[in-house]
Amino acid sequence: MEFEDYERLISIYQKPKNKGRIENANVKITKRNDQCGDDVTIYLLVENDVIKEASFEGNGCLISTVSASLLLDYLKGKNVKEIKNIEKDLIFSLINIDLSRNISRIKCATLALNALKDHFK
Amino acid sequence: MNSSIREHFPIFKNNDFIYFVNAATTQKPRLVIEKVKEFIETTYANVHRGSYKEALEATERYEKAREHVAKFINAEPEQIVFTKNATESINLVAYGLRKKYKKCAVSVAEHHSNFVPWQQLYDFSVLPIKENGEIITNVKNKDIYAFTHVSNVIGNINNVKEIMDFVKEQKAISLLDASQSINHIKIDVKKLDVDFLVFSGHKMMAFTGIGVLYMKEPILDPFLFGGQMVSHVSEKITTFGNHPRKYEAGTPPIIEAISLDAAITFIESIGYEKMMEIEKKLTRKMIKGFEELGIKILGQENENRVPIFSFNVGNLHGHDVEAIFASKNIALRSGFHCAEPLHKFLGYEKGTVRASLYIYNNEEEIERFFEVLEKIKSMAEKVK
Repeated sequence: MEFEDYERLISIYQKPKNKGRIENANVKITKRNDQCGDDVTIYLLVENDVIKEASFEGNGCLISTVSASLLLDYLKGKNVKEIKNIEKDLIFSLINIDLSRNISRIKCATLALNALKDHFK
Repeated sequence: MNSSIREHFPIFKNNDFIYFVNAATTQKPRLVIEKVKEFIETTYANVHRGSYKEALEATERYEKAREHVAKFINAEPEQIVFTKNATESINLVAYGLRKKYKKCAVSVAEHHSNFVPWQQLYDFSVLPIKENGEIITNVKNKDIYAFTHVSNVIGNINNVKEIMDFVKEQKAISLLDASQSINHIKIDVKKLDVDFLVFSGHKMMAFTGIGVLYMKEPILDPFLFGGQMVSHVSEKITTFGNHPRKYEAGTPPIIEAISLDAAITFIESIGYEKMMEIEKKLTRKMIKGFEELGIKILGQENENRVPIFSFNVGNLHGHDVEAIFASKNIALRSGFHCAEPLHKFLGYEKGTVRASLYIYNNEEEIERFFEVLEKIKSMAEKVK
């Protein structure tokens, strides 16, 4: 990763989209990254298997926060059945950083994705 | 200043990265690399077995390595056991004492390697520390006290004499973890007067795969069973060899022992006095840099420490800080540094970032480190 990538991530991180709790959510999922103690809680409003609203809360690093924020944006309007087929490469393209060689940070980038995958098996 | 020392390390010729991860593992000087190469290319064989010339020579050199280690810490060769690393040395002691002893205390500042084995096998207590890292000896009547000489997170040097006075009052057994001290401070086991002392080779410029256990008396039951450590084996019964052999089951780390022998030669060629002088200068410059940026480091900002500095930058996550440094070719470590109880005890729930320096680091590197840290600090100010 380049220094400029972090500057870009910081600007997203300052006001991440979809951060917070949606009141009318009917799905709540929590997951913890055991390696670093970071956690994420995802709230979804799902109607007829379609994600209408999505948000997240949690204490995480830049990568996990920005990844969660952009992933939820991507998922709005999509069918929950699509979640199980999403690969980590999608996250890399959403955050525009290839972390495929960075084993420890892949866990950060995929924290929200794995939380969703655990739920929608 | 220490450019001549740096020249002994081929990696810095091939790579212009700033290596500040020395508390995790150290780089290897040419002397160590070449000694091992020469050994493998001329006389490598298994030890304590054949009567062919190479086996005799390999055995002699393996035992010479043991003698060298012994002399280096003012012990006798039969008091030195070669293991895989400090972790295995500690496990050997923990397993080797468990039939006779039940109660153990360690400090909250221990590396997991000197924490988890005792926690798993003994009636276990934890000694607190002061903010400067100093161990508070407030748990009496234990059979064993295991504690670190230098914290791998705070970098403070514990007062072994004071702690040992307490341990002796309790008529207890002592284990000192010298993994973070032996590469900075002269160790004399007679002066320290501990029962057991452990360290790893790879943190003092030797190869990975070699650790040392010093034991004042051979009171341990064997830990690993197998070849080499036995005297006679029959279908019904096995008798064990003498120490230190009975603690070294299987083919030992022969090549790695040769590397440790050479690493000690390298340290002796510089001398601890010179090493400490270099490190004091680096330490002063690091402390000044942190002060100028208003970034708090764990422990005390004095010189009773080795150059290990743990810190956080605003609300930025340690993994991010480490990664931003990595993008500028500066190698640090983030997380709990295998000392999660210590971080939780001091209130660092998410861990810290650690910069740990060694004798081949220099002031220019420290300047580059602080240039990047200053940028990260202004990034952090944008994040609530």
